[in-house]
Amino acid sequence: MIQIKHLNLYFGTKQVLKTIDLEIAAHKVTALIGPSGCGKSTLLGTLNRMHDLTPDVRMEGEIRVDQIDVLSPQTNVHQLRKKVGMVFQKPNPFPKSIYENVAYGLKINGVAKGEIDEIVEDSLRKSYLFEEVKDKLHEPATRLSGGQQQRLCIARTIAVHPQIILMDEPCSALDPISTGKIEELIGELRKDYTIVIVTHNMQQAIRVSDYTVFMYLGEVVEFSSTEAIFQSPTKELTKNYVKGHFG
Amino acid sequence: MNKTKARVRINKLFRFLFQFSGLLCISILLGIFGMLCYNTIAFFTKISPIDFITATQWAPSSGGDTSTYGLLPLLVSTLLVTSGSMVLAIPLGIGTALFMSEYAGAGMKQWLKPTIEMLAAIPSVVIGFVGITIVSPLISALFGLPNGLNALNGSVLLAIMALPTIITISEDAIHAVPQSLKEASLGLGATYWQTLRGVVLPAAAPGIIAAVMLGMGRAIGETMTVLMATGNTLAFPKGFFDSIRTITATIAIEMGEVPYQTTHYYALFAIAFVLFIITMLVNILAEHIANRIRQFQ
Amino acid sequence: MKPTASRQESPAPYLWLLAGTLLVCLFLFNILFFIFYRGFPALSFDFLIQYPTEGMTQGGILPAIVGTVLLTLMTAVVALPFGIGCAIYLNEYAQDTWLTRSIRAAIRNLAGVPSIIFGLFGLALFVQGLQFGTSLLSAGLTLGLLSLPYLITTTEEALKTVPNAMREGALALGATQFETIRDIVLPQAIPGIATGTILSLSRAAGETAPILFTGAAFFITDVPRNPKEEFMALPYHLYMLSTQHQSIELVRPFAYGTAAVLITLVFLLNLTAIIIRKRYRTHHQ
Repeated sequence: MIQIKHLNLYFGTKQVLKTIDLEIAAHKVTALIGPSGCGKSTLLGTLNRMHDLTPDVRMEGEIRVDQIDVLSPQTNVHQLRKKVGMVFQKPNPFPKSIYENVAYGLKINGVAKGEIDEIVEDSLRKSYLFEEVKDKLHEPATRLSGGQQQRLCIARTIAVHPQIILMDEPCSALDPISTGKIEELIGELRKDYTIVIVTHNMQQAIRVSDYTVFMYLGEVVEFSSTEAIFQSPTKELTKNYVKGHFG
Repeated sequence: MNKTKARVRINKLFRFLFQFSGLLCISILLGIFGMLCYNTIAFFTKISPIDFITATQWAPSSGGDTSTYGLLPLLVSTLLVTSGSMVLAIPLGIGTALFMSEYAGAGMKQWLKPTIEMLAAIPSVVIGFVGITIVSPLISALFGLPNGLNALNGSVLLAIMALPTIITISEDAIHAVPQSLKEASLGLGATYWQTLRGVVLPAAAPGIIAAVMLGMGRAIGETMTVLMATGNTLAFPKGFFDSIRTITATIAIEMGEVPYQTTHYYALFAIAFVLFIITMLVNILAEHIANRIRQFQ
Repeated sequence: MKPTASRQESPAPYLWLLAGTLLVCLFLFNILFFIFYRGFPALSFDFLIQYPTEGMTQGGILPAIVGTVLLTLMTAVVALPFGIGCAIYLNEYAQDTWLTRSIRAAIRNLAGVPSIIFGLFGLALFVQGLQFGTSLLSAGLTLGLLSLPYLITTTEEALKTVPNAMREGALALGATQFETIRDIVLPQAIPGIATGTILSLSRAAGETAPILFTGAAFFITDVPRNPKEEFMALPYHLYMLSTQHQSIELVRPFAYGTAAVLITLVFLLNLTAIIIRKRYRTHHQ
């Protein structure tokens, strides 16, 4: 689904990602783990070109998402982002109504008015939010709790029918109960989507992911099934990290 | 597919429009500068720059050979009234800023800030009117003068106009002095006032100087108040009780009456050019000083 | 250090500074008191809705009020698109290049250019260069340029308050940068932009020097019907009544009345801005 070949990324003169080679499988959950500053969020951001916004970024190598050449300047970044959705660390609902939040991506993509209602409801159901908000669809999204807001952001993302969902520590700003709900939701979403999730929490990686990538200082140290990474890591560095010796 | 293409095109179009607005700002400034330069050069083809700078009289009698265009009396008037206003406004402005930042409680500040904002909002023509109706009779009564339309009056009014700028920016600078500096001084046994004078004011000095420069820039370029309240006599001023005529007032009075593209017309652009350069220098200097504090923090 | 403690410790400096501060406040209250006290007898409904008559010794100031309102609207039409456009460019698009640094430097310097020089520029460019004549159009364009620096600065500050997470959220859904600005950034920044706009317009409404030679007229028997006509304006009217009229003492009450109306107009605009700012803040917290 996603192929990354010899990817190097520099912020100014500082190299943040070093020759990354990865193949991420379709309809699986892949977790990116590693200590702070290891480049896992940066790597995630290359997949939907969020780094276009950052000044002084330079990239080498190749990323292909479903045969789209992600890094090519000819690639239509808006189409790419429609295909590769993203959920952020802190919930960031727009200061609009719940309904408008989910409908926004549909409207800019020119979905016919008649279809929007149905897609909004469907997306909210898929993100386990519909029952909680069905009576207040037109109230401001900012009145929802943090966990509900994050599920709304997931609904907003799946409304535009992406194939891949990128999640950047989606639970780091949430309480344990909300975290549990989001994790349950991820388990449900893997049926329809390819998910890449950055997480700081190793227990979470074990609970939700099929594959795990362990990164350290901008390099991929080990990439394997989640079970293998946590039960029988081959590298000393991985072993130390998953046992909690550093990071 | 085509829809995305259209969206990308609109996106590019607006990016261009926004950038164009930015470029417009540069072109306005360059336009003003070019317009002043062009007309000043036209003036210097008729009157030599040396005469302009050294002549002690501004006596344009349009058409005749007897006209002299001396910058000096206007420049001296402008500098006189501005320096007078600064003598009044600097201690008062810094004092008020110090009071607001260091002594006034939250409740008092809540009233002081809008008061200063309101003072800043009063149109200059109204201040000039106040100069005629309040300040002038006051000056003539206090000093036994036949009328109070003189440099002193202008200085008082310009001080009032410069005060809000000086107060607001100085207050920001004083407020930005780290609490730890104050605590260090108090910890050494200094009194609160000694701390303010010896530690807080010096630490805030660059910001306060920038505030004063900006206030001064405003006073130099101010037109209506000096036009209405200083009497507008064309002579070399000898003191604050003399009636004066500043650069701005001269432009305001004479531009309405001169025929287009005469020497006199160009002369007014030449003095405007001098004014432009002075205010520009004052502002650049203020900015330079303000930037230097930012580097220290 | 609590204010009360510092007062007890060194009362003399405290009293001196307090006296200075009160003096500054006194300036404001004195100005307001005199203008409204003396202007009150002239103020009446007729004063606001009548044309001046008998060489302005009778009647009202309707054309000056209407002129100022029209001029302010013209200023808004000129300044708003460019001011907001420039602020958007600086805050949303521009990176730290020599071009943006030059734009910022130009804006700071424009803010310090004396208003009379804007008047000269308007005269040379709009009145004479572009042949708009002395007119509402020329004066509005001149005041529009004068308002730009302040408008840009306040708008940029309003845009800065919109969290980056909002922009990222929209872009990640595939929105173009323009769509993000139009649908997400601007709606959130509108209260701040409105406040800045009103404040810059209230400044423009009180300006006299830039309209001296670009379109203000002493006495016109009618309100302007199209932008190419001259107009009366409150600040210019006050200037003329208080210094240029043949019988200055006779029209003094009218001058006070005009000053009172002008101040009221400016303060009302400021008050509106403050209310918008307050309401927006409480709404969002």
